[in-house]
Amino acid sequence: MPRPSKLVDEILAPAALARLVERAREGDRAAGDRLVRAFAAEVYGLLYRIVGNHEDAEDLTQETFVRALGSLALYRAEGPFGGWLGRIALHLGRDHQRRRGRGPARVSLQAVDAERQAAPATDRDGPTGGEFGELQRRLSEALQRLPVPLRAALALRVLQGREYDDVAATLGVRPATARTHVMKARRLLQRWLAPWLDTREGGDRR
Amino acid sequence: MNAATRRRLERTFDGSATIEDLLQLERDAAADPAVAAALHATRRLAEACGALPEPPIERLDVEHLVASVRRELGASPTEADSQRGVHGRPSKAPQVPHSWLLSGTLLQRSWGVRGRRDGSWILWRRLQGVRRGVGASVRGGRVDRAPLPKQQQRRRAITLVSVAAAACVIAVVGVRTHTQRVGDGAQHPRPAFGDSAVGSASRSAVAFGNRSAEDLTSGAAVGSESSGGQMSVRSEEPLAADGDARILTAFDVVLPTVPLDVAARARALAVFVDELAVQSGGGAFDVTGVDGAAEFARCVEDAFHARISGDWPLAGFALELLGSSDPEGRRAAEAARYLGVRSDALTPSRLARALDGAPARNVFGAPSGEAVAHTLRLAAAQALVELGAYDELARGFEVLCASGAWDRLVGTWDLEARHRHLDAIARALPSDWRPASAASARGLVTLGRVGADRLAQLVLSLTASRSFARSAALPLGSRELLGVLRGSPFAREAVEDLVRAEQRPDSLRVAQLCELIVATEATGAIDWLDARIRRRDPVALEALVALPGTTPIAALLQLEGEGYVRDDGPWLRLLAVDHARVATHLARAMRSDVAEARSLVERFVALGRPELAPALACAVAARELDAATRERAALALAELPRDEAGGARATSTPGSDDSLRAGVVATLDAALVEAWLTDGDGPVAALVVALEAWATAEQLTECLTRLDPRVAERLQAAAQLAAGRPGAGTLSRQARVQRTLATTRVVAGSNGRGTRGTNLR
Repeated sequence: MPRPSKLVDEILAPAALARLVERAREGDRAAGDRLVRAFAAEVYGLLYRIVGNHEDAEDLTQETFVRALGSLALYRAEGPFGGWLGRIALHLGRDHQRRRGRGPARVSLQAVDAERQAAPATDRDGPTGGEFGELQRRLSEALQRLPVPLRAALALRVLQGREYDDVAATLGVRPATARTHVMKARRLLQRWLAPWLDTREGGDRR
Repeated sequence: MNAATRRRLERTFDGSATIEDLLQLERDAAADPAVAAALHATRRLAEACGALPEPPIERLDVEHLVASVRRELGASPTEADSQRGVHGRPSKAPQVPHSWLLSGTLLQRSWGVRGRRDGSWILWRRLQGVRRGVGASVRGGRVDRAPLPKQQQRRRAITLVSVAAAACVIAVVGVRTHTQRVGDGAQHPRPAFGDSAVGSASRSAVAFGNRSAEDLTSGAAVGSESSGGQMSVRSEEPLAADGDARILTAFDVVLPTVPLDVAARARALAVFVDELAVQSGGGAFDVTGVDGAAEFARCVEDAFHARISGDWPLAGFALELLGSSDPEGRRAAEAARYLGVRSDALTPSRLARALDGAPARNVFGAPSGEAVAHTLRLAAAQALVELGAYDELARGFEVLCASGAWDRLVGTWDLEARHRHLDAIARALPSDWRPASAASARGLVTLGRVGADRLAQLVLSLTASRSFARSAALPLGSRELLGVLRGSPFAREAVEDLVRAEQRPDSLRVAQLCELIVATEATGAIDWLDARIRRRDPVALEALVALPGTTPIAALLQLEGEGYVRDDGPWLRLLAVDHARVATHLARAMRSDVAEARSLVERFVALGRPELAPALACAVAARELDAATRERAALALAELPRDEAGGARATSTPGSDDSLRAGVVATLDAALVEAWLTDGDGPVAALVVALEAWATAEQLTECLTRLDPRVAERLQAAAQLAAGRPGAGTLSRQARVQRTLATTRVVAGSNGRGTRGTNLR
């Protein structure tokens, strides 16, 4: 996605960002547009990780900005603007998942065991070559089964490489809680994907 | 597995592990199989996470997003709500607290306590006083409570009631005024926070071809009722004959306001399609009992035959509705297959045209949105695979990949089906077919139809190489990418391009990129590696060490200076890679920065590794260093580990090969001559000790003879005496060195050459 470097530089400066937010709050539409351009990719990326498809993520991105710019008066500038925006996106994503009836999946261990038993023998024997793709496919499915806060924490920290402070600001929790979310997500994924992760006899994958 | 190990595993996964964590984990893994298993699983999970496809940001139309947001913010929410049959929500305006503030101020003023810091408390006490018929007067901050005269009580009570009534009136008027202003959209043009209908309407507007809500909602006012999962749709105005847009408008109005499941959407669609069919003179159909995708598809099909048989846009429209509730596209595909089987209109050639995005406009005359086209492509591809029409699918391969539908299509197959279908599509793809985008290049890689040069050219030539790096190349894994790049003349440039394309790689990608850099000797990525090292990335350090033509010691020294390298792991790995380069760097350091060289020698002396022999020999011979440092280097050289047999020197160390030993002896020999001429006894004695340790008896004799034939025999005898003295084998190396040093001093002291009063001269 094209992002003019000048704009990015301007956005990256906290003081400039604060000015931009203030101008947008005062009704400057150009400032609002610049905020949208600057944060569209981040918001879209987060929503894509939450809802799992482009169309919904795009719609929710739009709705996030509509809500955010429409309620800038509520933004108190105590935390990063991106975090506040991310929090709105996160709530919208969660509401969206809830509306769809595809909210946090309740996965029973019995179901996981049954799935593990049903997995083909070749899968359990240590994937090679294209079976890494199989692991990725399973991982994609498993990500959609994660509860939304864990999914969002994982996406922000592991997939986007954000700092825990940023993750916590977006999730509206303390950094320690964000760390716990990532830890829980890893454990759940590792439990669900155990047959495809245990490939030591298959040799180094990389 | 203890808690510390678990924490290290967590840090390994989330990318916050330090080099100490990694080294400790590897030590733990070597000692405990459970830790090894957990570490392997964690790394593999991290690898899989890192290889997940990036969000398709390139598909996000930012300018359209900006325009949509601006349009939504500019729209009057109450107007839009009224057209949806939704009344504006009264807002809790600032007038309410303002009115109370005004009332409080009046009250305080009436009591004469305005401006006092304890006014609130006093006010409260006075209110209590009014209620109890007790007056309170304030003097010097104290409150005197005394009964008030009845007349005064009555007057104050009337004042209190009046003020309270005024406050209520102001509040009510304020609320009404604010509501009115919101309704007019004059003062608050932005939608209220929490108004989901706005966003939903916008979604529908986008889905129906990017038409604005104002355009779509002109003319029709439709309400909706929903109860118990049953939905009925009523039209307050009959639909006009020219009502394609109005029907679309009705959809736009109704659908967003009610949370609909697939069946409800199907019913809604059926109602309007039915309406459309009636208007066009076709037959109506019964919408009762419509449930699920197959029924929905049947409704669509009926609508086809009744109104617009074989018209793809309506199918796309219907599938989009399904697809919006079904991100995986399975139900949409089911509907498409159903249509394909039941309808003669859905032939493979039609499906193939659908892959090309044929329906530019939908049945209502509006441009088909990307969502419609995407879902339609996916559904058509599913139907083509189901029909076994691989040739048609291959012809639409480019657009399928470029639209992102290919990934979703492949993702819907299980392992066995994937092999079967991919093989068939690969065979159907023309041999001269070439990808036109990064997405199709990636699709080509999926099919296994790409070679080294081709992929390298792709990396270089694609204008969207950055997206290629993120979406196509790295998910292959460095081994796979190397496999296809190996032998290509473009490999180095391709890897450097990949490195430049990575803005914020995670730890896994750093490892992959480092591996690629080392394998292709992509020295253009040194700056990138340097930046990673400054961020304390051990993998980048390893890569820099392994990369030819770099000076990794400088990086190590820098890290040491920052207190980062607290153990010898990086040094030892560096020595294992290329110990000769250590000596080279030391020599370079001596020419440029003696202090750094001295620090380096001290470090080598402390390490005492056999791989350091060339470096220590270099230090012994360096005239730039002071005598004490050279002496310490010589003694450390003598103390380097050797085999326990003692006779065959240094045969079990990495530096034990003949050429290395010969090089060390030659260096020491030259240094001994220099030291003999200019230094004191300490360096000379230490050099003799080092030579005794590294040279054979013949070499030692030759070296000493070169100094002075008269003392050679005696020096050699002394050295041999020290080495072969009874009980020498049981002595520690340090003791042997000390004994040899003392003996050498005694022997050398009698050579009559002394010039500065030392023993040796």
